[in-house]
Amino acid sequence: MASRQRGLVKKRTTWLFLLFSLLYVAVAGRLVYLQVIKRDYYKAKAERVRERTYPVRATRGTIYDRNGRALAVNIDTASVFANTRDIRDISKTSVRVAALLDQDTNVIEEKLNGTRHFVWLGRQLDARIGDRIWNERNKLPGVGMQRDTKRIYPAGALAAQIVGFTNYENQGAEGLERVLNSQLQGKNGKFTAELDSERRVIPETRHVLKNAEDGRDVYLTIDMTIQHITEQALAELAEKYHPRSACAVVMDPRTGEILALANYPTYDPNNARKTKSALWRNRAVADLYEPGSTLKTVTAAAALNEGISPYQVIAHCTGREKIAGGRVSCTLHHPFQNGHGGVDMLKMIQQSCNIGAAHLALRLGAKKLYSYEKAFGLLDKPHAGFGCEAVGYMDKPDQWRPIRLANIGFGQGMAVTPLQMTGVYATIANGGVRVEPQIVREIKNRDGTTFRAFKPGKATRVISKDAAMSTMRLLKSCVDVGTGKPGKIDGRTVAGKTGSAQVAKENGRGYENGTFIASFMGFAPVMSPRLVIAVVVNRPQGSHWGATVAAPVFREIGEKSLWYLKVPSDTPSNEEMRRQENERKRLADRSIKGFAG
Amino acid sequence: MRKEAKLGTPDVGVLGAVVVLLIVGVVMVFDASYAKTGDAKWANFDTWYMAKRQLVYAVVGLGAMAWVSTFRFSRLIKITLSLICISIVMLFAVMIPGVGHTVNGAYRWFNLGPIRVQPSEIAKLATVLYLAGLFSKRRRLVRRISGEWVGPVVIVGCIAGLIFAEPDLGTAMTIVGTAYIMLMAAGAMKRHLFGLATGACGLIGLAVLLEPYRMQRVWVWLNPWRDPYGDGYQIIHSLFALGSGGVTGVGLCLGREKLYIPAASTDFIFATLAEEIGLIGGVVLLGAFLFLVYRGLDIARRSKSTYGNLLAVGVTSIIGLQAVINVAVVSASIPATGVPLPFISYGGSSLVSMMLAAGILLAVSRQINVELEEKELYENGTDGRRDRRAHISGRKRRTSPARSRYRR
Repeated sequence: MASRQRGLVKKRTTWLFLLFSLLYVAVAGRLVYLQVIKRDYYKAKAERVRERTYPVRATRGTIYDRNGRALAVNIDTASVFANTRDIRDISKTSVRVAALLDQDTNVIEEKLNGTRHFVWLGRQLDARIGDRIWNERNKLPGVGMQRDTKRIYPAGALAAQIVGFTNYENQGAEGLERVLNSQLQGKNGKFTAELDSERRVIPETRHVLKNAEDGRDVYLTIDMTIQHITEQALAELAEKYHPRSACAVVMDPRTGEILALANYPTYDPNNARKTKSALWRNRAVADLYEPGSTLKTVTAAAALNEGISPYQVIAHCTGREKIAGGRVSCTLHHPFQNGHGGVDMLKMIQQSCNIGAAHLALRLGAKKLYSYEKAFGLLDKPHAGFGCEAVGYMDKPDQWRPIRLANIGFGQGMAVTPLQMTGVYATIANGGVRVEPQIVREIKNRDGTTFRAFKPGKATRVISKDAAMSTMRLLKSCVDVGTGKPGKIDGRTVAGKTGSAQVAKENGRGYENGTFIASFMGFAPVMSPRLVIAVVVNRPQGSHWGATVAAPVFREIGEKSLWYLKVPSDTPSNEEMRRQENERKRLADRSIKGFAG
Repeated sequence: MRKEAKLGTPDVGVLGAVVVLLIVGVVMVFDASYAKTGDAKWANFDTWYMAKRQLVYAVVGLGAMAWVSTFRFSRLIKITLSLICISIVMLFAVMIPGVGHTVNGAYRWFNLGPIRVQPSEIAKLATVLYLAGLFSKRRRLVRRISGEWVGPVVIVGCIAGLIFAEPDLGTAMTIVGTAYIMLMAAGAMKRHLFGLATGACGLIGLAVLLEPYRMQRVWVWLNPWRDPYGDGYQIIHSLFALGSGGVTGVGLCLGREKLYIPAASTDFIFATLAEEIGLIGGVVLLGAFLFLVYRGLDIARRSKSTYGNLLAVGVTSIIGLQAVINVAVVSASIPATGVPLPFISYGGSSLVSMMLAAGILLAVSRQINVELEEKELYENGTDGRRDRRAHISGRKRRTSPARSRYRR
C-alpha cells in the first residue's frame, strides 16, 4: 500500500508542478504581451498622462520715463486656487485658507461651495502667502498655488492714464500697456516636465524646449518730474474749482515729445479693478471738446499767413452783432463794458473778441479757414502713440452757413482734443513748422540695444516763419496786457491765450446753460520756446474764465518745469525789477541829495 | 512516544531562494517607496522609512523561519487545533468595529501596540496545517464524498468566508486554492476535483452576476478606462508601468509610475520592478518563485510521510499561488484583488507569515525521511476522536476492487 500511495503522491506532485508551471508561463506570457508587443502603446499613453508642456514665462518689459525712472515693473506673486472636488472638509479648509489669505471665511466658504470645480481664491497675492500655502499643502488637499508675476506701478497714480494697467493674465488692458502689449509681453518659452501623482512637476525631469524671450523695455517721452508738477497743479486746481474733469499737456515744441500729460480725476493703476472705468480714460487724448477762444489763434495765424496786417481794423465790436442770420456776442470786461470798439487782430487776441474773430473768419472764407484748420492737424488723427487718439470734428466747408463760419472763427461749432490744440500752439512756437506729437521715445531690447527709436515725427510747414512770429507776438501781448495776464510767469516771456468755451448739449442742439470749459494754452520762453502747455478744465465751479481757472495752472506748471529744466530766465523778474527800481530811486535820491548837499 | 529522529539538513535551494527574494524585496521596497515617504509627514519625510521597517521585518522573519524549521511534525500537529481556533476567533474579532483596524473600509488588521497583525495570514498557515493533518490521518476521506466532509468543509469554509467578508478576496482565493491543491495532492478522485472546480467557477460566476460592485470590477478589469480615476486608476498605471519598462526596464530608481500607483510598495510592487528592470527582471523573479515551487514540491515528493508531503504541498502552494495571483493582478490578467507578493511586498504580517511558511517547508525538508506512524497522528489529532475507531478498519475498503480502478 505504501508504495502505491507513494506512487500516487509522486504523480500528483508532478502534476502540481506542471499546473504551477502552466500558471507561471501563462502570466509570463502576459508580461511578454504587455512589455514587448503592447509596449509602445502603453508607453505613449503613460507619457501622455504624466508629461505636460508648460510655458516658460517671459518677463514683461519695464516702462520707464525719459530719464529711466520706472513707471511699471514686475514683482513675484502667487495665485491661490482650489479644486473643490478634492477638498475633504470645506469648512475646515476655508477657515485655514481664510487665515492664510487674510480674507473673510464666509467668502472663501461660499466660493468653495459654489458650483464651479475650479475657483481662484486669490490672485496675484504676496509671494509669501503662496509660500505659506505651499508649506501646508499636505493639510489642505484641493488647494493649490501657482507662482506668477504681477505688474506694479511704483509711481502710483502718476501718468496712470498713459501707462494703463494689465489684467490678471499680465496682458495689457488699458493705456500703453495695451497698445504696446506685443512689445512688452515678450514670447513665452516652452518646457516639458513629468508630473507626480499630485500633478506636481518633478524638477529633474524639466526639459526646456524653447527659452522665453523677455519683453522689451519701453521708454516714454514723459518726464516724471514734470508729470508730477502737472498732476500736482491739477490737483490744486481741483481743490479750488471742483471741475468735472481737467487735463493738461506739456510738450516740447521742437520735437513733439510729450513731457507730461495729466488727467484729473485719476486713479491708482495698482488697484485699477476697484476704480470706475471712466477714470481710466485718457481724456486729454480721447475726448473732444469745443476749444472756444483758444482757437482764435488759428484764425489769426491763418489771416497773418494770408498777409492781413495785425494792426488793420477788422471789425467794430459793440458787444453783440447779428452776423449772417445768427448772433455773435462778446463777453465784456472792464474797461470794455460797451464793446471792444474798433478791433484789430492784436486786440482780438488780447481781449478775446468774438466779433473780431467772426469777421476775420468771414473775411478768410470757409475753404481757406478749413484748409488751415486741417494743416494745423485738427482734422487728422494724431499718431502720438497712445492708441486712443480721437480726431477733431468739423463739417465740410461747403456745408458751412456763414454763421457756422463765424462761430468756427472763435472755436465754437467744432470739436478737437486737448492734444490737438497743444499741437497747434507747438506749431506756432516752432516757427510755423508742425511736428507730430509723440509719447514713446524708445523701445529697447532686454540686452540694452535699441529695438526702435522714435525720431521726431515728420515736420511740415503750416504757416510762414514771419506769420508764426507775428502770432507769437499777438499771444505774448495777450499774456502781457490782455486777458491772459494770470498766466504770466515771473521772469519768463510767455505767449498764451485763454479760452472759455460753452459746452454743447449732448443732443447737439445749442449749448448748456452756465457750464463752460475753461482753458489756457501757451508756451515759454517766447523767443526760443521750450515748453508748450495746454490746460483744459471741464465745467469748473465758482468761475468759468480761462484766465481765472486755467491760467494759474499754466503758470504753476510753467514756472516749476522751466526751473526744473534749468531754462535761463529771459526777462527780469518782478523782484529784479523792484530792485532795479529801488536802486534807481536810491541813486536818484543820492544824486538829488548830493546835488543839494 | 518513541525517540525523536535527528533533524536533517534544511533544503539549500529553498533557503537560498528565500534569502535572495528577501534582499530583492528590501531593495524594491525602498525603490518603490522613497519618493512618497520622503514627501510624507506620516513617514517623518524619511526616504528610508519603509525600507528600514522592511529590513527589520526581514530579520524577524528570518529568525521565525529558523525557529519554525526546527519544529518536528509531532509539534506541528500539536499546535494545529489551537491555531485553527485562534485564527477563527481573530477573524471574527477583526470584524468588530473598534477592535479591528480598518483601512479603506476593509477590516483586516489588529493593532497590537506598534505592530499590526493580519489574522488572515495566520489563518492561511493554520488551514494548511489542519488539512495536512486531516488528509494524512484519514486518507480514505478524500476518496469518497461522505458526511465526514462536513467538518473540514465547515472549518475551511468558515475561515475562507470570514476572510472573504473582510473583504479580502485575494487571500480567500489563496486559501481555497491551497485547499484544492492539497485535496489534489492528497489523492482526491479526478471527477471530484473536476466537479469542485466547475462548481466553484459557477459559484464565482453567480457571485459576480448577483453583486453589482463585483460586476463593476470585472468590467474595470476588462477595460480599466471605464473609470480611469476611480477603480481603473491603479490598474491603468500598473499597465503604464509594465509598458514603460519594456524588455530591459528604465533602470533602477528611474521608474515614474510608482508615484501614481497608490499601492506601489505593497500589492503593486511588481509593477515598479517590471518598469525598472523590465521584462527580464519580471521573468527572472517569476522564475525564482517557480524554482521555489519546484523545490517545495520536490521536498513534498521526496517526503516519506504523507503528512510531510501534504504540508510541503500546502505551504508551497500558498507561496506559489500568492505570487502568481499577485503578478496576474498587476498585469491585469485577472480582476484586481489585494494579494501581496510573497517576500517582496512591504508589510510585516505578510512577510513574517511567508517566512513562517518557508520555515515549515524547511522543517519538512529536514524530516524527509521521517515515517510518521498513524498512531502519532491520532495521539495529537485535531478532532479529538483519537481511538474511537479502529485503526485497521479502513484497510478493507481501500483494497476493495471497486475503488482500485481509480487509484491507477
